[in-house]
Amino acid sequence: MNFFRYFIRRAVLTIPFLLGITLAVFVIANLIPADPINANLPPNALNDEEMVEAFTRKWGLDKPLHEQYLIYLGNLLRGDMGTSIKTRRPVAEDISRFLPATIELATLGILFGTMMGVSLGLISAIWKDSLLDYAARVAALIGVSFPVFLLGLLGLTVLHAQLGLMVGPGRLDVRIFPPSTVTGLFTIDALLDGAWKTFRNAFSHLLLPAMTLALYLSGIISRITRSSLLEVLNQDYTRTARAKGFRERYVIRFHSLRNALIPVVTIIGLSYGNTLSGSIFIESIFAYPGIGRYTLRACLSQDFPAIMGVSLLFGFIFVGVNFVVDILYYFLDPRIRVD
Amino acid sequence: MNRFQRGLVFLAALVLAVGVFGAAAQDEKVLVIGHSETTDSLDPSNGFTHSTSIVNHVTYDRLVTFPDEDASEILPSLAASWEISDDGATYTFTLDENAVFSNGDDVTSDDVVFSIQRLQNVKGNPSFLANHIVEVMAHDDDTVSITLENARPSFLSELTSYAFSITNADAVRANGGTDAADAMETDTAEAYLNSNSAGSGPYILQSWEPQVRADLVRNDNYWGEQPYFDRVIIQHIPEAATQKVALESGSIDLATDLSVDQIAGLEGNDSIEIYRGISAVTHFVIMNQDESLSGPFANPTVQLAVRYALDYEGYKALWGGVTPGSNMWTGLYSAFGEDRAFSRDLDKARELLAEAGYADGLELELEYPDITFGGVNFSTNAQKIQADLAEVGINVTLAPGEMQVALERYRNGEHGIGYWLWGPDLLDPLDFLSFLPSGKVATERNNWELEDVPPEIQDLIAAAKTTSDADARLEIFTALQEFNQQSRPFAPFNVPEMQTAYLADIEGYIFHPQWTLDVSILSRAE
Repeated sequence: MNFFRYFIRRAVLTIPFLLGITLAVFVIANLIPADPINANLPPNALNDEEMVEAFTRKWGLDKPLHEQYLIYLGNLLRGDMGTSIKTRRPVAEDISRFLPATIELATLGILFGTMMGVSLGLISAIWKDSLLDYAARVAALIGVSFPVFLLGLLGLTVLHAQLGLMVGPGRLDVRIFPPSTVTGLFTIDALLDGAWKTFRNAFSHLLLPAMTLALYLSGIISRITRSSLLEVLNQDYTRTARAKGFRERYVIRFHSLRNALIPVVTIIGLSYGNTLSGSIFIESIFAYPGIGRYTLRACLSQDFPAIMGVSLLFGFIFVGVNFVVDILYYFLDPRIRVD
Repeated sequence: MNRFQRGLVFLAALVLAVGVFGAAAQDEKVLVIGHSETTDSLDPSNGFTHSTSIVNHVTYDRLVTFPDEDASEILPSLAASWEISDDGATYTFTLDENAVFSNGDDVTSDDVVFSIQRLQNVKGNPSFLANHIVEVMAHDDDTVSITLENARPSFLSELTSYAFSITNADAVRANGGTDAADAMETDTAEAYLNSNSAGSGPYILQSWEPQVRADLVRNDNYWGEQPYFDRVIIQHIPEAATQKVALESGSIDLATDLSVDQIAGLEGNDSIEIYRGISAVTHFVIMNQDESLSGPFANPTVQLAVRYALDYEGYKALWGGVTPGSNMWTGLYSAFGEDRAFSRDLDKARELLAEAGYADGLELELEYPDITFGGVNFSTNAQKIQADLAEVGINVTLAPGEMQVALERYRNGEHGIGYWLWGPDLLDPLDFLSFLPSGKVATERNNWELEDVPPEIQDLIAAAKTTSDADARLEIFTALQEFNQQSRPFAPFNVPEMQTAYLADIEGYIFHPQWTLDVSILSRAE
């Protein structure tokens, strides 16, 4: 298929999809029997009609629902995502503040997770039913089923507080000042500043949460890798390759692995989308100011503009990640190119 | 310059920079607070949360204040002295002439007028506190009078709130602030006040990155005694468990949000000190006076039976603290303490139930929010209430609700029987009126109307609202609490302990019910 046409079609399809997200989120957020007035004004101010009216008017809550929705869409078209009720800053600005932290964490987490997961899965599949396989499968099971917040706390308690091998919570030590903002990614910004010490500190603050995330992700990834590779190893073409007398290593590398990777890439893509939407547990445990915490806060205070904003963002993230995954298919699987 | 020379210059600059910063960092006395940030604003007229209070308590001053340790008396602050008119409605303050803002400007009566009018007009979260103020007038540079709608015995206590922080009018105006009647639409100073302070307190807000940290630096122009620390960093750590780890590793000096069991885990750790006091909240059962909602529990005899059935010592064993003598928070002037509290009497409770005609038992559904507050888990307490009441034949079904949903029902008075907590909005006995007919909890949330109580109680409620004399207040509030003990649709059962943990070399920590933490009185042992 023509790559360019494929790209355009995907991009156009995104629009109704995102519109659908805004509508669904708007409806759901308004169906919840909770009230942004109660959630945001202090109890005492609720007795004060003038205050309640002022609040209602300020945030447009006095208008009928469909009108609120249309106003929101209108503003969105002009690039205005609205102002968060909770932080009173433009939602776009809030996102640009909190998303980079999550991007750093998610990217490192998915990198570690993929390395660990794919290797574990390969070991498991190649030496199927051996002791190694059992060990790798138990490790994967623990990774998937162990609650991440507990894992994070254990890591902090043992590796940070008791052994002092890892640094504590947060993005930086309190005595180290953040680098000047270019990308918002502390590691990159610190390198751009030439601040080696800041880079080292920011990076070491990423290690523990990223490892925690990776342990969880590697569990899923290794299980998929194992089952997918095992399936391919039983296919006729693998047998043919073996029959030709190729060495096993060659067979796996050039005949099986590539085919086995398609579901693995899918799951890595989905996991990346998920972690980019913020891991509320990990961000909370590690006092990590990312988009997950921001979303949680927005939901707890019925902060409509922020909820809509992050939902749209997550929509974009998933569309983007899936798009990249599709392109990877395109390269991994020649059949897709032919179709 | 060739590449080598450029490299050399760069290296030299780097060494110099590291030297300068290194030296500064070493000499600076820094306090790091681990805190779960709750605020959306540090503007005194907009923010109204625990976090706002910790910061604004030290970046601003108020006209009057409480002692460091409690709310037992009113002390001068920016106002050196004051007079109350005979009708109790006009307060005239004389400002301390030494008082200056952090930028060196004098604190004048114009600043007071501006700050209070801005609070009224921006319609921010704490603006309701200024609702009773009719007029604020400057007589001369140092004299300002505040006229209220009518006599208000609690007014001085209210003025200690961080919402009444006095801001530098010129500085706030220069950054978009206004105290005009349309300030709600036209005031744009909040952004400025969220990253700067314009006050006269011992610290200056240097920067605030929401959900990350706030940095306070010492105000060199401070007109009072200089605080010990040069810099105070309030680091946002949302999870209490993480605060605990950070405290154990010494990366923070004090944690504000540890729960009782987390602090128990720190006991025996020599590098950590644990402070214990009573918290500022009362946990209570509330029984709707509207019979269509609560059935038999609208009956005062059944309500009294519930009060006798609760195992007060048991709640104390769980959460520490004290058993309250009434719905007035134990730490307030004239409040009934533990010596006047109920103790469990199962026979009496059964007797009362039989008297009301429910000897064969009763059913009730207990609504409560599924939350943990100040380390106290509502579900644990609800299960204990269930077990306590089962012993007198009341069969309780638990109905936990999501916080916002449950709160909505409670605030609208739609619950039957609920379990909630109350923290005084105001550190004054007057706060207790919330639990008497015409008060917020009693009437709005529980449908207990004024005509339901005897005329003499109605008179006492009216008198409480206008009497400023301390002895007369003691008498009125004693009578009202006695009434509250016998006939009320509430069963207050515990004022839990509050604990704070900090590094053992930190000195001077005191929990205050108003501002919780005063970082300006802390120091480090050397």
